[in-house]
Amino acid sequence: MSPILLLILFSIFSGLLICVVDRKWAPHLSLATSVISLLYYLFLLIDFEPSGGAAHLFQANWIPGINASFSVALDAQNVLLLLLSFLVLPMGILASWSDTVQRNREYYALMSWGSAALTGFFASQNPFSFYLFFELALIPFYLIVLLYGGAYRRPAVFKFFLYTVFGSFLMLAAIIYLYAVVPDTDINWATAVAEKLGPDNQLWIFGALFIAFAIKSPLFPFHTWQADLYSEGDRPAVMVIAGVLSKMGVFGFIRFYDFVPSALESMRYVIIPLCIIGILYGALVAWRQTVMTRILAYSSLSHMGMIAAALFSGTMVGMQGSLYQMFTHGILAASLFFVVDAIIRRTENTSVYGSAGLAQANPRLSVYFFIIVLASIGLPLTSGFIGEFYMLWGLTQTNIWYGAFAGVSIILGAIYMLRFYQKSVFGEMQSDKVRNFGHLILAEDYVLVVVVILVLSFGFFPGTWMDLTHQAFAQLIQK
Amino acid sequence: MENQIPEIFNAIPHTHYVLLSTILFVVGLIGVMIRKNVIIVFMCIEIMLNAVNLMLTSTSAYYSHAGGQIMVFFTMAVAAAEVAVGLAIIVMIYKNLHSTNIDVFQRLKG
Amino acid sequence: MNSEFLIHLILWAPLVGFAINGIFGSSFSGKTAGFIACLGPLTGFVSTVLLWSGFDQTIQINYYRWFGTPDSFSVDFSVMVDQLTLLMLFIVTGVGTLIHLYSVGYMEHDKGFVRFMSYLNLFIFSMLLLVMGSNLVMLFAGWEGVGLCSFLLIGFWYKNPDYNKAARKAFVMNRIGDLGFMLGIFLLGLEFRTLDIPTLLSSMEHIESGDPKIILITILLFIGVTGKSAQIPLFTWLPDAMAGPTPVSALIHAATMVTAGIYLVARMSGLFNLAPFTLDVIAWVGLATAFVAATIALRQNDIKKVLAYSTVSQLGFMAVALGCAAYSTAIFHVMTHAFFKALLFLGAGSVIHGLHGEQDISKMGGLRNAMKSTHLVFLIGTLAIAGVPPLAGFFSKDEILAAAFSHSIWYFVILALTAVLTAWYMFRLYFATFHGSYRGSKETEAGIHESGLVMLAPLFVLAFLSVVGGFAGMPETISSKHLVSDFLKPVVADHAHSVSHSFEYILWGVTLVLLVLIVWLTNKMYSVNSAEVFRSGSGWVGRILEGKYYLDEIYETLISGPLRSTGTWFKNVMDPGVIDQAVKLPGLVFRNAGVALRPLQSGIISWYMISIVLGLLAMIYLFLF
Repeated sequence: MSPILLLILFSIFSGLLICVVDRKWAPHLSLATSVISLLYYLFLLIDFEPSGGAAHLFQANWIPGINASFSVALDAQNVLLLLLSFLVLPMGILASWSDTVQRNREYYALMSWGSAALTGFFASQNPFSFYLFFELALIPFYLIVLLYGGAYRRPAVFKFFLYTVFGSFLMLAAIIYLYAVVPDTDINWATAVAEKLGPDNQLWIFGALFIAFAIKSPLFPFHTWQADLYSEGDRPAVMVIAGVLSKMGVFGFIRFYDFVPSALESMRYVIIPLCIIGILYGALVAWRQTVMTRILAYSSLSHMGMIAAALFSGTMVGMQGSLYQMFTHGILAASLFFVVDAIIRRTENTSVYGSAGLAQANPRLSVYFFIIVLASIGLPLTSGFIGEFYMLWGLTQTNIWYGAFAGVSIILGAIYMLRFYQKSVFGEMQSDKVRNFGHLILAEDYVLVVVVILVLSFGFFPGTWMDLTHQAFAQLIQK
Repeated sequence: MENQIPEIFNAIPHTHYVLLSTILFVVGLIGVMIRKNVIIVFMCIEIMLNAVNLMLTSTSAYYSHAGGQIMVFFTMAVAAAEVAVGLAIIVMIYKNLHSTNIDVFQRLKG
Repeated sequence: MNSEFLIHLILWAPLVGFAINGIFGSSFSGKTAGFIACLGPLTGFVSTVLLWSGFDQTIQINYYRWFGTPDSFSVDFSVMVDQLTLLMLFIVTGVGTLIHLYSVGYMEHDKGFVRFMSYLNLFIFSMLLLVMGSNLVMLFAGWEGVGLCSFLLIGFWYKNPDYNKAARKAFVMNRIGDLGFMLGIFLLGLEFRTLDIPTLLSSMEHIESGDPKIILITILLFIGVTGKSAQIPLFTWLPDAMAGPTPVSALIHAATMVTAGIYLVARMSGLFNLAPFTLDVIAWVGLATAFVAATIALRQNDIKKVLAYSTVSQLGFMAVALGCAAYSTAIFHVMTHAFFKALLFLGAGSVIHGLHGEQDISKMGGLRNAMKSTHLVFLIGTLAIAGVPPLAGFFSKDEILAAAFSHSIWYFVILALTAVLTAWYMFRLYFATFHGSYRGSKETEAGIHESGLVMLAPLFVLAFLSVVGGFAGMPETISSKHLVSDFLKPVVADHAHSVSHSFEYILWGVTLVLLVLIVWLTNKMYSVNSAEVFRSGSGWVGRILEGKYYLDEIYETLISGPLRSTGTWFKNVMDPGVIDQAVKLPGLVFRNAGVALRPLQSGIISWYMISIVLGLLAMIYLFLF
């Protein structure tokens, strides 16, 4: 059996198992299975040859009438993102560690199933399996937020759901159309579709896909579900949503890049400025927010705008940076939520002013937090820098004004992230909750140490991964 | 296939059947629209059904085509089931509300 | 010893020190931590000396391929040491070691002592990365790294929100410059397909002077310089950066980090020579900076603020030298400035330490008796910066003036005027602090004490260097050998003209006369017993100078204020009010339609029946007719 399929089935099966074991073992089992998945995936990576095309391919006919098949594999484009989803899941589970009592078995089962859907999504090799998992991934996280979120979770999750489903329908229509245009889904399918569609029809398809993916990412101006969901959702689940689910949209652009090349070419000069507006908009709003989770939401909006802009720059360097940054931002966004969760759980205050003086109360957490903040503002020798450097390079290559305006985000990013950090960590201790902050539990320490190692090692040694991203786009660019 | 229609049927022109069933149907229809008693409304529905049945049988006989008559059997079976369910509902409502006025059904609206 | 090994040692020793103190520091005693921290730069300094003694050619070390894209660019994690780097290494590790030593005394009672020392080590590492980086990305990594350390050290006393604000301001202002720098790097890379500095410079030969692309690139790089080296318009962060502990001001905001921009231009001198327009821009910005900062320094009463503005002004001098294509002169001034400005800052630190945190010169005075050693070294520093021959500042400033004169008479006039102002505010500071009589309260007077040996020893070393440092670069009139520019000749493409000997002699004569005059006047004005002269003046000139030309206020009103309110408006109005409403609009349409159509579902069965009939009739009508 294909190891990738095995990973998906393993997650589904372990979800079922979690449902039936004794309640107190559910978190442990779920952690164990997620770590096993991670380790197995790392083992797979050892002899993965990126230039060799799709590896570990599993393909099965599904709807023969329209040539739709179910197909998953490991390839150069999804290697990093699969790694991301396998990394973030244990982090999320560990984030829930300190109050596992409040969470039922179903919580962990849903996490497992969510992981299965994400694995399938990133591994999918054709639009049909892509769509299937795109929709499937929504359900577990919808349920988790609905069941375990904050006080105002219902409207938030409803908005999220409606938004995403609206986008999905547009995408479904586009995909059906693709299958209808050229029913023969062989290797050169994308090219054949692109040829047959012609520039005008490509625009429609691109428009439908763009809205779907822009909602999922989210990109400005389709972002209004984000801040509500991030601040009301159950934070471990939000870690996965902000870290991994938000990458689904941009990843979709990569997957559909071949189908609509001329539309991409002609829309580039509209989409990139839109993304840049989003970058600046997100940064400015993040600057003025006082609720921690909302700052992170809008900072995510800004970062995702940059990732999308670089992808649409159509330059090899920009796209490489974009893919790399998807991974890095996934880790950073998840770990920022992790830190914020650790703070909010103890201070019971979501305001940035609520935890002032943390530097004295828990210097350890403050240091971890600081390193993550530095990486997210793209300081050299952290992972954030590499992606940002590539992306801005790509944008500058397209047009120097793109580079300049998108580059303003490194200034604004420094402003809002440092403000966020200083207000929430520095200053005099104000409340007793901060004074009695206590130590980090072991689970938190582990996660944060791993994150710091990741941040530094991906900053110091990005070489191999960068070559991987080069492989990912080598074919796309050649066409 | 000609002359297979029995003579007796030709004694009454088909138009009469059509007229009768139309009158019956309209009677039933008006009854459903204006009457307030549920039982009466129910009966009116039955009248309409039977008007249609009459139409079907007569036409089927007139054209000597069995399809219409088979359809009538279906209609009767469905009507019987409907009567069983409908009457049960009416009885339940009467038991609970002591009324067979059709306006009580307003309460069912969402 | 193997020179590659020495380079490894120079670069990594401070990082190891940082790591040890940073990770295990909480369990160390102050002495151990201080010792480990000093070891880092000291190792570097000793290795630099050894390296220098056996130095014959540029050494480049490739650690590994950092990142890169085939057929676009490749960036190695690599360092190189050439003459320019070597000189900077001397400054960074030498002055760095002295300031580490001083800090052990200055900060020993602070609760965050270990943290402070580890930050200093991290700073040294970043600075070394900056000067040793053999490609622009490595240089940029160090560039941002020193910005980070500057942020950490300015906001070292993190409980104070004002200090935090100053730290953030410094970082953000630097980032504005960094954006320009980064764009410059991109354009260079796109143009030349490499970011390796030696390769870049060697590919300049085929480029025509005044190529618009080169001008754009150099202007962008210079924007980076204005951020880091505190030039107009981005210099306002540096005076605020005085919120940090005094050794930080000495090390980062006077001797090393702020000169990084000067180093960058000198490093890329081959590129800048191709853009005469940019050189003019640099010179004029430098002139404006030097003059503006010097005038502001005239009316400041905070001992550290005076020195900060003096630093900005001196950086302006260096920029003018760069603008005259006299790169080695600029580097020479970087060196002498590192000596005397570090000396002055550390001297000021000693004064502040002795007065238990007092920084206001209107409350000082007469300290020459209580703090004899500090007084002596501060005097040497003052003489050096004022340009009294034959101290260090005299030679380097003289050289800059000569370069300016040979370039344009206007450069010379403005610069000479600024030099006069420099002498004025420095002697004002000196007399106000050490002469006259003590103007603080009686209780504090009893507490005044001289600093300990661990703080004084570095001061004496720096004082010695401030005296003799200038002999490394004597003008032609005295000696035919200019050690600094001869040493730098292989790597720095100087382009400056020389001036006649008679001009030099006239210049020195006038300088001496003016200096005597200034000393006499300032002594008369500021060696006083009452704080009257330090009160804010009523004239509008005085008010503008005290208000620092209101630049902070102008930036606040024109840039950060509007941005902030735009952000607030986005947050409060645009996001929930416009975008979200637009998204909710379809939902609203359906909901209202539902409300409007709801009465149809009346629940009256007769009505349903009637509507069915009507509908039926309508359909019959439609289909039949």
